[in-house]
Parts: sequence; C-alpha cells; structure tokens
Amino acid sequence: MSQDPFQHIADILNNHEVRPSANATFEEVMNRRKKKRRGIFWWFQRTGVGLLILGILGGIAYLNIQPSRISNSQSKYTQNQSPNNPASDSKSETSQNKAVQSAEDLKTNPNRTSGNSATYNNPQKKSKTGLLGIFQKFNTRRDEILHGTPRTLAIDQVQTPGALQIWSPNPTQADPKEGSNIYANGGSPMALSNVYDFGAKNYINGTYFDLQIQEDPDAYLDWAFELPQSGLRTKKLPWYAEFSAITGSDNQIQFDANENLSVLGTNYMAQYQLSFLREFKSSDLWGIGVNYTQWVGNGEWRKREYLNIWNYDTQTVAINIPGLPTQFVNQLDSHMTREFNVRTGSIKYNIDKISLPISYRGFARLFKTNFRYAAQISPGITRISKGSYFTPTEFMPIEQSRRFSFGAKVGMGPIIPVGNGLSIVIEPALMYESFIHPQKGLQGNVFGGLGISMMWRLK
Amino acid sequence: MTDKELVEGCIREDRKYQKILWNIYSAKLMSLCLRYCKNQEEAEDALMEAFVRIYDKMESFRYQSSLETWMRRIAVNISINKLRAQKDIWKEISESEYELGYTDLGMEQLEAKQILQLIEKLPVGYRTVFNLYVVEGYSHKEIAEMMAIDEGTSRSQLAKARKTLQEMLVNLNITR
Repeated sequence: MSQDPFQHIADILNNHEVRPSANATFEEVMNRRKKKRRGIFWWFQRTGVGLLILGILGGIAYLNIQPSRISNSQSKYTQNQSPNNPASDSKSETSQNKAVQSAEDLKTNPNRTSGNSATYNNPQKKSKTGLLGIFQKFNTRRDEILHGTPRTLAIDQVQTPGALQIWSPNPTQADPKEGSNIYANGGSPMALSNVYDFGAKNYINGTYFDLQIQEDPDAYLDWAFELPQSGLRTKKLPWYAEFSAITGSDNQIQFDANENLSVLGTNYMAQYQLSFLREFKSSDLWGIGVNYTQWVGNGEWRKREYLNIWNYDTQTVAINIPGLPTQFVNQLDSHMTREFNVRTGSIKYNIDKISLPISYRGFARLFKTNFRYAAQISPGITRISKGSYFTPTEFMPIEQSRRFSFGAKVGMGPIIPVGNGLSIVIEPALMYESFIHPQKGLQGNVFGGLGISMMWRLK
Repeated sequence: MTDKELVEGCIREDRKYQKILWNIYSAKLMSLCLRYCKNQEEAEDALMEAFVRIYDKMESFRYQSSLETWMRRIAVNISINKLRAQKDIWKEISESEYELGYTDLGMEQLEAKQILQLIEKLPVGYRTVFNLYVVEGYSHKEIAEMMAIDEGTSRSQLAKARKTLQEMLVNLNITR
C-alpha cells in the first residue's frame, strides 16, 4: 500500500488518457489557428456581414410575412369571442356547445374567416420605413416575445368563457380562483392559468404552429404551459432614475459684414438633470424630472455708423467799388461730408433657469452596439438673468428675471452597462434653449454638445 | 523522436510535427481537461484552445521543464480560465474543518476510471483545488494566485474535497 494515497491518485491520473471525440481533431485545431490569425477581419467577415445579412433578411421576412399571418390567424381564431357578444358572457350549456362547435370548426375548417372584428389588439406602432422601422419592429417583436403576447389579447380571450373551454386541455383546470392573479390594463384580476391557456395558444396559432396543432391536438398542450411563462408580464413595468449632465456651445466667430450692428461671441450652456422614467411597451421610456441650466455668453459687438457732417463754409467777401468804400459781405455756404465710424464693445450675459423636462428615451441596436436615443422638451422659468443677451445682429438687456423659458433636446449615444442596474450613456446631443424677452419676444440658441447620463433601474 | 525535434518542427510550422505532437499528447491533455471542465464539450473546447496556444507559443518553450509539463500547464491555465467565468464555486468551510488528519483514503484500490468518476462528483471548487494540488502538484500559494483566492480557501477546499471523497468511498464500501 502506498504511503501517500494522493501520490497514487496523481500517478494514475497523470498517466490516464482519454481520446477526444471526432469533434476535437487536429484539423479543427488548425482551423482555429487560422481563424485566430485572421483575427478581426475574420470576425467582421463572419459575424458582421453575416449578421447584417441575417438582420436584413429577417427584417424583410418579418415586415412582409409576419403581420399578414398574424392578422389572418387572429381573425380566424377569435371569431365569436368579442366581449360585446352577449352569448359569450354566460356559462350556459348553449355557449359551451357553441364553443365545442367552434373548436370543431377550427379543426375542420381552419380557413374559415371571421365576419366579426378580431380581438387581437397588437399594439404595433405605425410602421416606419428604413432602418429605424426595422429596429422599431424588432423592438416591438422582441418585447412581445420577452414580455409576452400583448396583454389585451389575453384579456379579450378570458372574457369569453366559451372560448376558454375550446382551448383548455382540461376545462376543470381553468378555474379563475386558482393560480396567481395578474392585473392588466383594466386592472381586473384574471386567473393566470386561463391566461396561460389563451395567451400561449393564440400566440402559437397566430404565428407558426397552425398545422401542427390542427393535425395533432395534443401537440400544443405542452406549449400551452411553457411559452407564457416567459410571455406574461405579471409585474409592474420598471422605473428608472436618470442623472445627466451635458454641456454645449453655440459660436458666432465673425462679424456679419452686411449688418451695421453685428455681434460675435460664444454661448455656452451646462445642464444638470434628474429624471424619473417609466418603461412602457417596446422598451420606450417616458418620464419627467427637473433640470438646472446655466447659460452664459460673452462676445464683442461692433457698430458701424455713417455720420453726415455739415461743414459750414462761410466766407467774407470784400466788395471794392471804385469811389466807394470797401464793403464786406458774409457769404454763407456749407457742404456735407459723410464719415464712417466703427465702435466696438464687449458684451456678456448670464441666465440661470430651472425647467421641468418631459422626456422620452428609446433604444436601438446598431452595429452590435446598444444605443439610446433621447428627446425631451423642458418648459421652465429663468431664475437669474444678467447682462445683455445677444444674437448675431442685435443685443438687448436682460436684467429682469423670472421669464418663461423653453428648452428641447435630442441626442443619441451608446449605452455602457455597468452593473447592478446602472448604465451609462455617452450622448452627443443637439439642444435648444430659449426665453421670452419682454420686448423682443422669443430668443434662443441651438447648442451642440456632449453629455453623460447615468441611468439606474429602480426596484 | 525527441522533444527537441518536435519543438523545432512545430516552430517551423511543419504540419507533420504538429500532427505528431497532437497524436502524442492530445489524449493526456484531454484527460486533464476533463477533470477541470464540466462536460465533454467544454473539455474538448479547452483541449483545442490549449493546442492552438501551444502551437502559437512554441517558440517561448525554454526547455526548463519537460515538454509535457509545459503543455499541461497551458492546458490547466486554459481550463482554469473557463472555470473563472463561473461564480460561487467556492464553498467556504471553517478553519477547524480543514485541519483534518491524514487519512488513508483507500484509493489505491481504485482504477483510474473509478477515481475519475469520484472526482467528477465533487463540487467544482473542491475538484479544481484537488486536481491542482494533488495531480498537478501546485502549492496552495500557486493555486491561490491562479484562482485569485486566499491560500486558506485553497486549503479548505482541499480538505473538504478529501472529506467528501472519503464519504463517497465509505458509501462504496471501499474504505477499510
């Protein structure tokens, strides 16, 4: 017996050999080396182009095929299930018979079209064209898949007990008192098991699995309990807190040669904002918040003046007539000269304002990077205003505070997830800041700038 | 064929020598990877990754150890890297628990396959430290550095691995 059992194990295991399977071969190792050497180019070649092609094909397929299938299938399967149908409100035997009959119809005559309006209320947005449209479709589709088929579908279906028994594998299981209740739209509690049945089956029927279900009624029973587990949204949509800081500038670097009064200078703004945003369907966020904006400008004005100067040319003329004493006469005359005068001076102003932004945030994925696009409007009020505000062609004193102001911002930038629900967005943005001047009306600047946002997902 | 010839052939990117290297060592390294990875697929992936690195880094082999030792070290590192992605593989135990006496595990009666099966049943943390310490011969300090853990954790994992193995052996009625 060995003194050291560990040594015995080490000896055995060190000499132990296991032949790799046919998947791990020398040729495969060499292929890996080749791919590794091709490095980034291979990666782009395979993933970038491949994904792009797949994305385009998928988008085209989705946009062209999927909506028609959904609408056909839904109108096909939701007939007589309208909440307005009084027959469906009772659990009488008649309605059950109708339900059974409808079920048979569905099995035997799947092409039957409904005269009633389809209850499938897919909250699809108005389709946009181009890449953005594809992204929007993608977002909507993803949201449906991740968060479930639209809840309105489930509600509409549950309101029809007859239909419930059509699709339930075991009608006795569809007891509204059992299972967790979910609350959707109207806030009415529904038995989760019911919704599972309907959400799943309609989802399946409406999309891909028509034929399989018709041929084999049992085939969908498993699906009915699997798909909706990830498909139903049983909790409230999350809230986010966002803190952002952004700075921007708007520069006028030359005097306007065509204007007698011209101003050059730089306008800066810095804005700090706290917002609370709520996620809605399609992962869009809407929210409100408060922001503080400091808006300053300094520059130089130039005023060109043309002065008309009268020059008096009074002459004393001596009149000498022989035999008479010399007489003097003052001859009055004048001429006008025009002088060009340029005056310059410095100018600056300072405006602090507080606003209540109404914000929108959306998400897109471009080139394997997640982007967030943002838009907001922010009505507010100026808190401090000093100096003389200037535009390229005029300036005006703004000593009076408490003026209404208005701001807007659009931006888009990459999201960097940090962890623990925190994400950072680096956001190039275009901003508009304005205020109401008592005499000159609306005055404002468009700023280009760069900001950073930190977004926390709240519990 | 000597190690030197193999190494020089691989440095020259001579496919013949590379293939020979694969034929000689792939089974041994596969056995090694299997002991660290959670399944056959992951082990094969680690094996191929290891050979890619071996071929790429062959020039850096300095003959300070045997070629096999050097290759094993690379394979271990790659397998460990795969493990690092997993969280919570370390099960903490108290200090007193790992001050176990030197116990005859009765493993000398077992065949390699049986030992492997037993080791496979160990939790990942135990198994990894057990393999590194017992089979590869790393010290606790080296293991701690490799796995980014405390030395004490390494010791405790080993002690726990031994204890668990002993319990398994008792269940198999092998312990005398």
